[in-house]
Amino acid sequence: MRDDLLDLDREIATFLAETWGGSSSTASLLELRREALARGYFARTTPKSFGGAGLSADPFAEQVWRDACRRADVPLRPEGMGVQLVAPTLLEAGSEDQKHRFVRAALTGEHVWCQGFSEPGAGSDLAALRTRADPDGDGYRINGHKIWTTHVDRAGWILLLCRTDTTAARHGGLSFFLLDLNTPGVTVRPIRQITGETEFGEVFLDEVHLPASERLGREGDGWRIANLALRHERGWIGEDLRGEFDRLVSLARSTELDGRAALACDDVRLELAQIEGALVAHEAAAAERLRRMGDEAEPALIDYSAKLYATELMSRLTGFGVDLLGERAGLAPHTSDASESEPEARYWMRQDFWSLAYAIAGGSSFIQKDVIAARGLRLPRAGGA
Amino acid sequence: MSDRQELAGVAEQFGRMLDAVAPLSDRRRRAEDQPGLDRRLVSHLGEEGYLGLTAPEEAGGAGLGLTAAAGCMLEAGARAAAAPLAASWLLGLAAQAGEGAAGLVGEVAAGSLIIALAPAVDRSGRSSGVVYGLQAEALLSWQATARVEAHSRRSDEAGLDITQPIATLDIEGLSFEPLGAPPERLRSAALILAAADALGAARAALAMTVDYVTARRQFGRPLTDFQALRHKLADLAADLEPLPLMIVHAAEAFDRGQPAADRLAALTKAHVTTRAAEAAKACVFLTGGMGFTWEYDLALLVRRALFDRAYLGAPRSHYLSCATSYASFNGSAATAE
Repeated sequence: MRDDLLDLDREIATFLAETWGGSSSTASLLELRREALARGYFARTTPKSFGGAGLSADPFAEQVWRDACRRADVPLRPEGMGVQLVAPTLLEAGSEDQKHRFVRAALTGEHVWCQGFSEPGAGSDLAALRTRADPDGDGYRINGHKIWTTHVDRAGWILLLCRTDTTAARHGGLSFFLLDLNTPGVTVRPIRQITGETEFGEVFLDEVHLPASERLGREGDGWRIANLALRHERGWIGEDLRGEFDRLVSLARSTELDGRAALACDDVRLELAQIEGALVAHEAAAAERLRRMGDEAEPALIDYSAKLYATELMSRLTGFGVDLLGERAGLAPHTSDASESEPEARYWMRQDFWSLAYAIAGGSSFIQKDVIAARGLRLPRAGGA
Repeated sequence: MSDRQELAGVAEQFGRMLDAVAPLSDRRRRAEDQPGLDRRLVSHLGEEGYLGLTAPEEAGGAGLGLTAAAGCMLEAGARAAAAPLAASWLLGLAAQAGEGAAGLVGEVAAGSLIIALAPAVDRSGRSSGVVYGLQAEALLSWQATARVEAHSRRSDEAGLDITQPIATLDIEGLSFEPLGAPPERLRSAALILAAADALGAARAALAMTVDYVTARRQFGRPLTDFQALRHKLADLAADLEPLPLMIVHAAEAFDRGQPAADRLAALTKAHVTTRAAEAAKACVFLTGGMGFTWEYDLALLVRRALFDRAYLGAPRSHYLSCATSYASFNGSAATAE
């Protein structure tokens, strides 16, 4: 490991030991995160004026933070999409006032954020969305329905993409809003996933009033900002595959297949090494992508191909975890309660299910391939096959 | 300008030079009357200082590391360049690490001595699988170097890659000078260079395929109209896109002398050549009847990528050697950086 990362690892471990009492109280986590943010342990590039350390991007340093949190049993990040999507988007598109109000709070979990993009009639075809924000006095009146909203039941705020101009063409006339979910007219309903959990849900908006100050960016700029947000979201999928791989190797070390230690089998060793090869390539590319975002380079093939690559790698990894379980996979509990039974089967079956969700969320793999073909490889537009 | 940007500039310049002096399209024509080594290219590379890229400055080289060499090798693979670049650059690296190569490195850098890598020796004193073995005037093994006599050449050229033909040599009786550098290090460098060569060839194959598919019309429309084909190309592009960075990552670990560098080199060789070979084959599939034709330049690139996958240990052996560390795994952050 790089010497500076070893030093950072020691420093973070000390910091966590001193500030983390093991309690899950929101207050102590918030203070810990505020301090960690200020020291640049995570979200390193956050400007100092918004609570960060203003450092250069370094995915390996960010990995050190994640590993240290895992070892110390500190929850890795706030629930919702504040860190992954909202804070970076605010930094790119928000007003100074909005950045001051929301960036640090989003990164530390003081505000828990969810993302209001998809609708029942607008998933892959996001531009078909119909939630409206009509001008009303010096603000807006919002009506509509968002679905597949991650952590909507735990969130206090939603980043909402609405249609502000119904006369404009599909991708035009869209605008973003920062909406407090406690606003009258908002109804949240969780949805149960195939895993038994309620990680995402839906939100109904009925005559919700919002002042113009809560609009993010200009009216009609929503599609452009949405693409910025989606680019950030794509980058986060697969950000902790290294941690998953470590768990996979641990599983292989402790498991038997047909009466033999799994690691004694060549096919197991081969598969692990093949997954590791793909993982190292993924990490090398992630480092480059972060550097490019820091340099504000125009998106290129490497940015467009990241999510596809990561979700296919995750799918291979989690699939192999389930394979290693053998018959035990059938014991995986189908409820999401806190029962301790069959923790490994529960874990790997859950992760394998979620690998399917990741291949759908944030732009399905088919969409990713369309984008790679059109914007990455620059193939001429399909006339209609 | 960052180090990476500087080295990228060196590689870019190298690529432009190859396009001017030995483009891929030329390779085919030359292969018919002068199979294997392109002596004209070797002279040019010697004159321009590229053969001495890694040779110590005292020997007239540029004293650069594996990262620079790997970047240039990507460009060489893309043009299926037929010159002893890997062996020359490995000799230079060995000369930087120990004194043993000093006798040869100056001549090799100047382009006046053809050196070949002899990766293995069998019990009867023969070294097989030597790229450019038929033209080799000196040999480099993992531990030593030797000048080669004409009578050492055993077999005619053969092999999967017509731009990197292999021969068998009799090395008994040759006088070997020890390199004085760690053999595992040299082997790791060789693996990374083979990976870079394969990737260069695969990326050029994909670019050629994209051009083909864009121009070709069937059913009254360009092939690029068909979503399945667009998606297949997208898959290939996504597979290959991270790989130059994986090579840089592995080469930098080597240049920095990191303890995990040898394992990373083996993993990189296995992964990159696997993906490169798969992509190359997919390109044949995507270019239809033309892709399956000997005279179509794609064949040169495909055979190059397939050869590199097999050369110096096929993926399975490298994956298995990497897997030996799983038994004592302690969290892999230590192997990542």
